[in-house]
Amino acid sequence: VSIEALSVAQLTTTVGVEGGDLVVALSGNADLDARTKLAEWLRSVHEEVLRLRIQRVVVDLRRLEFMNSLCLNAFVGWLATILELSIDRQYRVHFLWNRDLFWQRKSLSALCRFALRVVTTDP
Amino acid sequence: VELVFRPTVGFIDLLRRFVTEFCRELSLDPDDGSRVALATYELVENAARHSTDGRAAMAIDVAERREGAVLTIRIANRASQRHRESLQARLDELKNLTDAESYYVAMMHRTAKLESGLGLARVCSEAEMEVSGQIVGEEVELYATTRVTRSEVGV
Repeated sequence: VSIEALSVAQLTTTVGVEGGDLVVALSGNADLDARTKLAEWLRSVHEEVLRLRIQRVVVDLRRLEFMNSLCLNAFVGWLATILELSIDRQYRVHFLWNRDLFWQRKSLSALCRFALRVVTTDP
Repeated sequence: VELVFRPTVGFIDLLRRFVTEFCRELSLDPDDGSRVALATYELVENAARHSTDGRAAMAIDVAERREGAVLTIRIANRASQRHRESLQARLDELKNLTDAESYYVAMMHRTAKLESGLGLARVCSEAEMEVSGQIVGEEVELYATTRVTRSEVGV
């Protein structure tokens, strides 16, 4: 996989492959300073997933303390791009989240409604 | 709590942590504290991005009312005419809000290809707060209000 891990401001990411899934993990704090780089990084994830024909991306948010609405909007943009693909090229995005972080429960509930066809969550 | 400040990214996150601790000191339910901290972050960041003189003022007030405790966040800053017009349109939409999460998801559709625009909808939906405001001259003042629950211990 030719995606570089991202480290910007208080946000760091890791990238790996487990089974047939691409697994990306975010940790730290996704704030105003991270927005542009995060959006670019998500575009690179998207291009790599299409290139490798991966069926599912697992996004691990369990160690992400906070994400502001600008960074959340970067995820919305990514999901919108997936939804614009023809059905046979769409891939799923599965979020792992932290029950102790209130915002994750609420943000993921909205993301699920936004992109019902492609988003799943655990738990 | 009342603060007048020149918000920076680092300061905004510090403020979010401070508000979380402040709510804990008030013995607020932890979810209430998380909601208030999230709303504070979004509103202060919004002020930081749009303040024309780099300054903002913030106050958090908890009032005991007959129906229970009500917490209000107030943020004030100066803003450009363009931002004031855009904000007024958003505030008009929020006046008639009946389903905050549906509005939030609708805003996601509207802003998916933009860089921003989700903040106030997030405050309404995720923080479960009523958002209102007034614009007088160059001054913008936003209010986010919610009922909060205080635990018996520490009240």
